[in-house]
Amino acid sequence: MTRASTIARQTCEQTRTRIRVSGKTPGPSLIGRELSRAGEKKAVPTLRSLYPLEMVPEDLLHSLLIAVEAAPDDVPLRLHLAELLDQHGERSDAVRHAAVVLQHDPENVRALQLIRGTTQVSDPRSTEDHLSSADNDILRQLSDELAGVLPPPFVDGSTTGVPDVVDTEHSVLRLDDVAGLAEVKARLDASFLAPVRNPRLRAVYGKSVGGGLLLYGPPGCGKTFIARALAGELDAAFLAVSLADVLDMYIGESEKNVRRLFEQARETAPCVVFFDEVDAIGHKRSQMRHSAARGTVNQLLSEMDGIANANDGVYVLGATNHPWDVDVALRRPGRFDRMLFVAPPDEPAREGIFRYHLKDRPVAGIDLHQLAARTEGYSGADIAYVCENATEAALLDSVRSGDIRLIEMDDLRRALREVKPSIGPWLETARNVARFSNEGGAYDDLSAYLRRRRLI
Amino acid sequence: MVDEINDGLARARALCDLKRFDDAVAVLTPLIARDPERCQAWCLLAQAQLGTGAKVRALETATQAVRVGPDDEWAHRLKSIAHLRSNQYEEAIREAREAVRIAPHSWQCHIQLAQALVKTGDSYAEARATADRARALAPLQAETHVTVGIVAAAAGRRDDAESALRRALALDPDNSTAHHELARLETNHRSLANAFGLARAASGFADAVRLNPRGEVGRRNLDLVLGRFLRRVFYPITIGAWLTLELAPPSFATRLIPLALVLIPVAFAAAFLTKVSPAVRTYLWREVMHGPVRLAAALEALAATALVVAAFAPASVWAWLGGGALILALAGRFITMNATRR
Repeated sequence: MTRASTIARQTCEQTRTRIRVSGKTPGPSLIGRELSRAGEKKAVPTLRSLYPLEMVPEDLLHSLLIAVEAAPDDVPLRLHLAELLDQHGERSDAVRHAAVVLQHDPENVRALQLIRGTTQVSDPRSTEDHLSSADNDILRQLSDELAGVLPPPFVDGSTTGVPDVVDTEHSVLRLDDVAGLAEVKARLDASFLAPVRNPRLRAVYGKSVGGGLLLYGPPGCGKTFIARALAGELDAAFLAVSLADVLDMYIGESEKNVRRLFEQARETAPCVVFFDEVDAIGHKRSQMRHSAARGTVNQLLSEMDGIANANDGVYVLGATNHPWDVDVALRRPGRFDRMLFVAPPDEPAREGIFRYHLKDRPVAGIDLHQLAARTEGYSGADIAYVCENATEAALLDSVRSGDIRLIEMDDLRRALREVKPSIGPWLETARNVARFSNEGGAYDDLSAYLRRRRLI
Repeated sequence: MVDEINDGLARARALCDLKRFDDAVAVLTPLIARDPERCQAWCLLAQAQLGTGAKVRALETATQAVRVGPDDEWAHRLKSIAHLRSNQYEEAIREAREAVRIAPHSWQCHIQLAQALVKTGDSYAEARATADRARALAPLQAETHVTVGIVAAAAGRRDDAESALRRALALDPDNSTAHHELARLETNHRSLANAFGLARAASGFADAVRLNPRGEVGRRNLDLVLGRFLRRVFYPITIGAWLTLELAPPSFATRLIPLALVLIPVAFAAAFLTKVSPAVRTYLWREVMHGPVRLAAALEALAATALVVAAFAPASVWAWLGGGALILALAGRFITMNATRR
């Protein structure tokens, strides 16, 4: 700080300029006592009035640049530099510095004026005449640089100033990237992808793509991964929504968030809206007594029905470990009317998961087939933990012995003895559901899986 | 910072509602570290810990909540619940009384006091009065009727209990506690021969499990009821086998006795199976065919077959058949008792 203020002070003295220190500063020490001296604080004319454009001295700019580099958080100093650059005709740099000022102090009027003055879009007819291609490039560059700082120049009336609820992603995953789970993939293709991809056939058979797909199964078994793969297959934008994205402590705000989320989805259609842990957002209303999440279910129902707005191109996916906690209304036709059980990974899937987690690690003599055979009932997350444990063991061994050694089958065998399948408690609850709650066959695939494993 | 903490509390409250108590604890711990004087945060943490089953920690947290908010009825109520879970009934009653003193119009406080009182076993009158007061304060809350039912059942007033629990179910058909308590009433009251009562109990426990699949108590009670059903089915076969052995050599009349004693369990089982819900029937079938009682069921079936054969067999093999049936029936009974009391 001292160096920065010294340079700035020298700069002021050199140019016999007095700096008017105004605006907020992150800390009083940043400006420096020298610069805050009474004499220097006195009101002074702006630099623009002191120096005509052609008269801004180069050495002043140079010194100020050094000062700003030394004290990047000094807002007044950077603003001063931006003004000077603007006068000097270095508009691109001026706006860049003004943008940094706005990052520190979003309310800084002078910085905003500076940016608006520089990037203002004038009448296109006149700009066509006056802007060279180089100027156009600068404008484009500026727009790109300031995209995150400035509000958009033109807005739709419905979305003015409303930030997106979640970030829009574009998934590059495909179902082929999901190891194993051939049965799940086949069912996904039949119940979801085929109708979406074949609009003509859909029309012939009168099949609607409305409604959502609910993926359920034990934790850590790849439901989110499959949802991303589905978005990738559809080449659609992907909005991953969790409880934290929607829940707001203020009454009515959670509902508003759900509405805004669907607005965002409709704007970015084709789009997959993925509700992770949908039981949290759409929990049985009878059990939600105290929390702000209660009203979200009604809003979610209304948005999924698309009463006020058409949901063309918006595909709703949900994932949950506890489908029995999802409000019954959400599972009616037109909402999450298709349910798909994502079972713990089968043998080919487990082999693939082991391969994935070990591929970038120093391994030797790993029998993936044997590992997959020994991990019946393990979730993907459990397998990842096994690999992590084995790696830790090899690493620790290397540290102790001083010789780097590869991860071997013995490490993984030892890890397997330590790490037990984590889906036991889930299976206990699932057994109760399959036995006593399977009215209408909603959990037939779960029952079939439990029977195959002789759990019921 | 205040907004952040409030936001965190809202999230923790939602997580508690969702019964994700571990997640709620993870959210609350840093919040409390930032603002340790927030009674609401301590209360939510105690609630989450009670949900996870960490009763000792929950008691410590609730004690802290009471220290931070001595006039907060929720803090006292949670402390009372934590004491109750630790079988410290006197302390539970004391804290519940304090909660009632702070918030005399809160039905939750009265419910907590009634539940604490009923546990001691010697304050039924006061428990009943407190439960009635809770019901008067919130007549549309199913929980108040459930509490009245529990207190009445504990005091041996079966009809009052049944009526209160049925009222609770009328208000909230998905109330798993009411289903469970009604099923318990059926198991405690009905006579040995009442297959319908046993069937209602089994169906009630199955409903409780259906509505709250995480609740293992309901499942265990259902297993106990089904075990009781099997023992009652097998019991006459054992008696029949013993009588067959005792009544040798047989007369025309004595030949009918083992036959009759085989028909009794058949009739009992038929009555039970017609009344019980399809889910329980399927469950029982799977248990008998694949569960630990399948050997017992096979032995009892063999014993029953031996008795039927004995009714028509020559007198020379009567005792042999009776003895064999008795051994099979006793073995089956022994296995059933072991398997169904797990």
